Amino acid sequence: MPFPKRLIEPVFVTRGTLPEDLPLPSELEGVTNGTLANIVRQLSSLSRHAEDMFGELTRDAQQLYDRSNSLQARIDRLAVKVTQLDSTVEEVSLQDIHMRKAFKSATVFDQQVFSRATMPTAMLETYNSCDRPPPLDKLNCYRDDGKDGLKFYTDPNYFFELWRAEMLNDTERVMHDKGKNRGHRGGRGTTDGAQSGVRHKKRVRQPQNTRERQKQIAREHGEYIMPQQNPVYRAPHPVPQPHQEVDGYIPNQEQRPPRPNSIEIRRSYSREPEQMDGMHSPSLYQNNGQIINYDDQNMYHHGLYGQGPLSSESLYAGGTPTRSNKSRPSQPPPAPPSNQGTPTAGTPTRGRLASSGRDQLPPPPPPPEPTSPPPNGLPPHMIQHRMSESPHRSSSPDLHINSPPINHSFDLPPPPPIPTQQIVMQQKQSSPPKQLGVPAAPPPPPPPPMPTTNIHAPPAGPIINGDLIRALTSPPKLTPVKDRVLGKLGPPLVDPRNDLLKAIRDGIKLRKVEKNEQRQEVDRGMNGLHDVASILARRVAVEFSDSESGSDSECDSEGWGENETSA
Amino acid sequence: MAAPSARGETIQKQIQQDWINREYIEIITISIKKITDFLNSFDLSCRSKLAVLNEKLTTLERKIDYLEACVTKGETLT
Repeated sequence: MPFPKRLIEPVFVTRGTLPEDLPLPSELEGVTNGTLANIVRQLSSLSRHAEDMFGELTRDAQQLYDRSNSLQARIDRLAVKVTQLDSTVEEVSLQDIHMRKAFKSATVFDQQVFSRATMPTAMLETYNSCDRPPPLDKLNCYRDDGKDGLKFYTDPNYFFELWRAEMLNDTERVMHDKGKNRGHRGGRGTTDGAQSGVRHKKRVRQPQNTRERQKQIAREHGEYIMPQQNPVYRAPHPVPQPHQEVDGYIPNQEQRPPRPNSIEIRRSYSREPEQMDGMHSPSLYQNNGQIINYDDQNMYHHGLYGQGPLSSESLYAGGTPTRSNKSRPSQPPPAPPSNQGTPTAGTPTRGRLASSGRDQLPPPPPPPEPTSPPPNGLPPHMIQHRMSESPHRSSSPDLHINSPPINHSFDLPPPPPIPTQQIVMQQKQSSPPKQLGVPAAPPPPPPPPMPTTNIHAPPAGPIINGDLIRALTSPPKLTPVKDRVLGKLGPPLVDPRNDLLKAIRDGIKLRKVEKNEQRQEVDRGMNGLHDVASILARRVAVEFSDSESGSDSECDSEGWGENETSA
Repeated sequence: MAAPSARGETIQKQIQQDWINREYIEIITISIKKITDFLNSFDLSCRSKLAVLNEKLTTLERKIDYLEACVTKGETLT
């Protein structure tokens, strides 16, 4: 149906021009005069539309003029600046290079181009002349499904929702695919221990993978996943994290074997982080800085067990579950000290900053460990040496080993948003201090505005025994998860808050896993992704995930994973 | 016969005059249509040209963004 933007009225010039009530001496003249009068009306209508049209054109042209003026000014400034450039002088000293501010585009992309606010006046008049939709929303109170009755009649957001869902699904799929590929390479967090190497290489992708996997798992077996991850900690850190020791852990251990190529070392890391996310996010964050040390120890242990590189290779090729189990026992010792050390050590803050899911891995590894000689009595430098050797064994390990320090440095900067989230989490954690057994969260920075709990923190029933209750009862845990989610969403943080509050309330009410999952999805959509730009940016970030985007995505993914797992 | 003939003439005159008026009205309406056509085409061409201009401006702005970022030294911080 053609939809004229401007309608010149009256359309029928001659009709109804003959007055019926009073007789005319000459009807033909009457009709002619009436027709001429209508023509004058048409002309006035035409002039009005023309004025409106020219007004629009003038406005647009004025905008272009302003833009071109500012652009000209920028070009002039740039020209002056370029002439002042001196090739003999070093542009940026090596010292100052760190002070350089990263380029940040100030370009604002148009959004909601076809919204009611941008509707041209001519069309707005036509729109206003339309009948309002029947007040079907008044029947909402009689609906059991809680849907808006009016949306069955008309839903302006329908196509946007459709597009958004499609884009989000695409993004998820891409991330999932990438995760699979990576999983083949280095192994996944959940299934494979190889994550450590991968995460060092590309943080972003790994987290995404884990998160997606966790999501899927949570959907299929919401509760199973959690237990699998937990077992590792169990043995190593019985004392420090009593809550981790839950009924679900044992089943997890059984499930381990099926996991394909898993590097023992990485396995432990990946699992640990996941556990941490779901269970003890605070402790994990604190311990993030210590992760590297932990890895080193693991490597060291592996070397002891497997007689150097050969053993490690075998592990990489396809770690057998039994092996991993053996190695794990060796790892456990560090855990207990971690609790003590974390509070004192400054590393915890680092770990928070890093915020990547991988980093969060093992809360247990104590900061002092790196300095302190490993159990075997080997000095730390020995460990490092071992690590250096490891690269030969497998590509993935190489990255992990070589990069540890570098990674930390990288991790810290890339995820700026995360730190805040973590901070919030810390604060919250601090409030419920010792439930988790991570007593020493450093004093949290001022808590950011109440993070909304979109993610129904209240982990679904499947969650570890003690944790569920805690999560439900204690707000702090919930908040961390939410924070992570927000981080995942990234830019949209501001909007989601309102929803988060609501989600928190709802989440506390809803205990079923399914509902939680649904909510997560909804929250996800609601939180940040009402924004076209954010959706597209996220998609682009996923497709071209580099270190930076990866870091963000990691954090996000972790958060989601937690949510899902918890749910 | 004169009366009826005279009446017939007046009617004929009226009809002729009406035809003249209709022609006049036709000319006016056609002119109005021409005006609207012109306005529509003018609006269309203006908008397309403005859009092209807008596009060029956007690319230019991005290029300038890039150049400014290239030229900018570490002065941004500190």
